[in-house]
Parts: sequence; C-alpha cells; structure tokens
Amino acid sequence: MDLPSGEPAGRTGTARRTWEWIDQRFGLSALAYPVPQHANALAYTLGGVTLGAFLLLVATGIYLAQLYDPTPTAAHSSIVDITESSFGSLVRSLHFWLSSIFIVTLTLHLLRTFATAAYKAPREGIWLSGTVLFLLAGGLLFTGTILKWDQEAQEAFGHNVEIADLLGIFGFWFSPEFTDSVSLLIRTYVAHVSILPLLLGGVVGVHLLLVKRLKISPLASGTPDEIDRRARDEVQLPFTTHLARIAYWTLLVLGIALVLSALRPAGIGPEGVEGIEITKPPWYFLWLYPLENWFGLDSLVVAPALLVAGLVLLPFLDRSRERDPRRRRSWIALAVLVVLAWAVLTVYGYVTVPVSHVEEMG
Amino acid sequence: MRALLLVVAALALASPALADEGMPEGENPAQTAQALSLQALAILDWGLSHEEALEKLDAALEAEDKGGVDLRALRAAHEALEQEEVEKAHELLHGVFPSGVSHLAGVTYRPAVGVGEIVALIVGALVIALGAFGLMRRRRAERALA
Repeated sequence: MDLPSGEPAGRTGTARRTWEWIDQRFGLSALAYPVPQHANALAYTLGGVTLGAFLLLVATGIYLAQLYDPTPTAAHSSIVDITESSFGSLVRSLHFWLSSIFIVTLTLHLLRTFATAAYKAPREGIWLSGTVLFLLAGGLLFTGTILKWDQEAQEAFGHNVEIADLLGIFGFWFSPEFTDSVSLLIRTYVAHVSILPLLLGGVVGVHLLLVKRLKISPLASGTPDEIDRRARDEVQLPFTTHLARIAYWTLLVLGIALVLSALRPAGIGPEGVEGIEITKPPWYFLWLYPLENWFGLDSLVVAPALLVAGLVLLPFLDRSRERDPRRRRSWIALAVLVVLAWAVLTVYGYVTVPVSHVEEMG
Repeated sequence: MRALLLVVAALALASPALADEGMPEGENPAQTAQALSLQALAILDWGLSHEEALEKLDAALEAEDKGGVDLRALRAAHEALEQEEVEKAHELLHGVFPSGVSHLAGVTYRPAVGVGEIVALIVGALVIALGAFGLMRRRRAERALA
C-alpha cells in the first residue's frame, strides 16, 4: 500500500507528476504529520480498524438497502428474498459478521483506552466522544436486529415499545404513538440507515479531530515522569504509515468476515408474532437477558444507563497522573470485574432455556 | 491500494456466478415446522388467540422443512385445536419437540453452503493472506523509516 508520505520517493516521470498534481489540489501530503512509533501497534490501531469495519458496513448496507422493503407487511419476505439469492445472502452475511467484528474491535479499543488511562487530562473529550460512539454503535446494532422482522426482531421491537412507555416523555420518539402516518418499523429503518450513521460519522469526525489536536496517548509504562520522558524521546513516523496499517488490518477483517460468512451464513427466523417471547437476543445483548429475567424490564434501562454513567464519570473520578495499569490496580480490578460480570451474564443468558423467560413474563 | 483492487476484482468476478440459485418461487424457507409449532405453543402459553395458533399449525403442516418435530404429535395438536380443544392442544404441543429443549426459535433458516459460500471462502482466505502480507511489508518498511 503506497500512501502519501509527503515525499514521493521512488516515483519518477508521469507517476511523480500525477502525484504532485493530486497533492497540490487535495493536500494529501499533509497526512504525513508525525505520530509516535507505538501508534502502529495493533492495540493502538483498533480505533482505526473499527472505523474500517464501519465503512465496510456502510458499503454492504448500501447494497442491502436496494433490496430491503421496510414496510411491516413486506420486511420479512424481502429479507427472505435477499437470503435466497446467493450474492444477496453473502452480502447480508458479511453485514452481519462485520457488525459483530465492529462491536468487538470497538470494545477492545475502549478497553485498551481504559487500560492505558488514555481518558486522562487533557483527553477527556476524546473519551467522552468515544462513549457517545459506543452508544450510537449500540443503537445501530439494536435497530439492525429489528429490521429483519422475524420472531427475534419482533421481540426486540416489543422491548423497544415497552421501554419507550417506561421512559415516558423521553421515549416518545421510540413509541408507535409518535405518528400514525409512518410505522415504527420504517422509522427504525430510517434511524438505522441515516440518523444513526450520520450522527456516528459526525462524532467520529470530532473524535478524530481531538486525537489529532491532543495527540495519541503515550505508552503507559512506568511512572508519570518516565512516561513523559519516553514520549519526548520516542521515534516519530508519518501518520500515513498508521493509515496503511489500518488499511491492512481492515483487509484482514474483511477476509475474516468473508470466511465467517461462508462457513456460517446469516440466518433468519420465522415471521414474527406480536406478544410472545420465545427467542434470545443476539450475543452482544445477551448479557441483558438474565437481568431482565431476574429484575424485569427496568433492568434493560438501568444496567446500560449505569454502564454509560460509569464511562462518562470515569475521567472525572480517576484524576491521578498515573497511567501504567500496574500502578492503577484498583481501577484495573474494577474493569476486570465488569468484564467478568458481562462474560458470566452472557454465558448464563446463552445456556438459559428461553421458555423460562416466557413463563416468567407470562 | 493494489490489494483492495484485487479484492474488488475477485468479488466482481465472483458475483455473476453467485446469481439467484435459491429456493423455488413462493416458498418461505424461514417458516419451518419447528419454528411455527413453537410460535403456536407460545401463542397458547401467552393466552393469545387460538385461531392464530391454528394458522401457525396449518402452516407448520405445510412447511417444506419438517425437521425437529414429532409429526404425529403435531397433527394431533392441530386436530385438537381445530375442534377448539385449546387445553388439549396446548398439552399435545409440548410433545411436538422430541428433544425437549427446542423451545429455542431464534434462527431457523440458514442458506445451504453453495457455490457462493465456496467462492467467499476462497476470496476470504486470499484477502487474509493479502492483509497479512501487507502488514509484514509495512513492518519492514517502518523499521527502515525508524
């Protein structure tokens, strides 16, 4: 991958002139600003890989949008039609697997940021915009689940409506009563294909501008003074090397998604029946399933709200200068506990027989 | 950039080979007998309209895919519901799932692995190799730059 490095080395003749013509007009060599060498390690590339996965999701989503009918009477059959065509099924499976990879890389990026205390001053804004991105990603996954309009989708939709009621005035947009003229499924589709991606794109822009302005966080090893000293002495590379790394990792992500799509194509359930509950949510929401069983619908609002509140408050609660995870043992222990709780709840949700949920709810 | 172009070219070449080759017209492969019977059971569990449950059982008996259900129990439950014996039908429906744990609808239909999936597998493996090769090249180039 030959990305602009500010110096068109090795290029001669026409290639050099073409490069200069493009660079004079689009200023691509400005992308070759210096970044520390550690920025190219995989752990520090995860944000870019997440963005790469998002762009692939947009590309596959654009194709699917040409074939999907968001009206409640035709939504399910249009997905069945897409699934019946091999190419449509492949693109849909890619979209499905890329969404899972997207949330995995996003979560790993968040955990890396936490572990290296990259949320600390002066980077609180980066962390907060990242938290908003995390929420928007959750919204995209949720709305995407509803669009296939099978039994699982119908149940997610039912939860959406119930939560809208629970939220009262704050849930008005998510409620079918918002308008009689457009169904909530169509509005969910609009949210999935335009409102949420546009918001996400905007916040990603802010997030990236802040990273550019405040620079990538230093390697978190040693005392604060040692970290500052190492940051001053670290070798700098052009940002274009970082972009090239992201591009290759994104290529790997695409390859993995293709292999997964081939081995396990995205499926679809039967057309949904309103008012029953016999399925479980997709894996990324499975941790909420046992909570709902134990504490009822309120937990679907309270648990994510607590998580988001914790993320928002974190940079204002942990204000010491320490960045090295070995010197922030209590914070790391807290994070390990949260991840463990998530894993245990997910596994428990996976092994629980869904009918017990039906009986409890019934 | 060259790698991306290769991927796009491979997918573009593959796409005509992946044109429609699916199920016969009019069939809805997502409507399996097992999923439909489960929906009927849940409808009765939740005390909803038994006519709706009967419709589901009608569709279950006509479904192309009748795997994972005891057909005799399904027919008996259908007959009971037709005679509006809701309690009996409810009880019989519990016996429709031989494994006893199939109260899990979720995904009921996955397209079979065909030419499209095989092409995707090969292209996916190539793309992974390209990505890995590119990353190795980058590492060497960065070492030289540093």
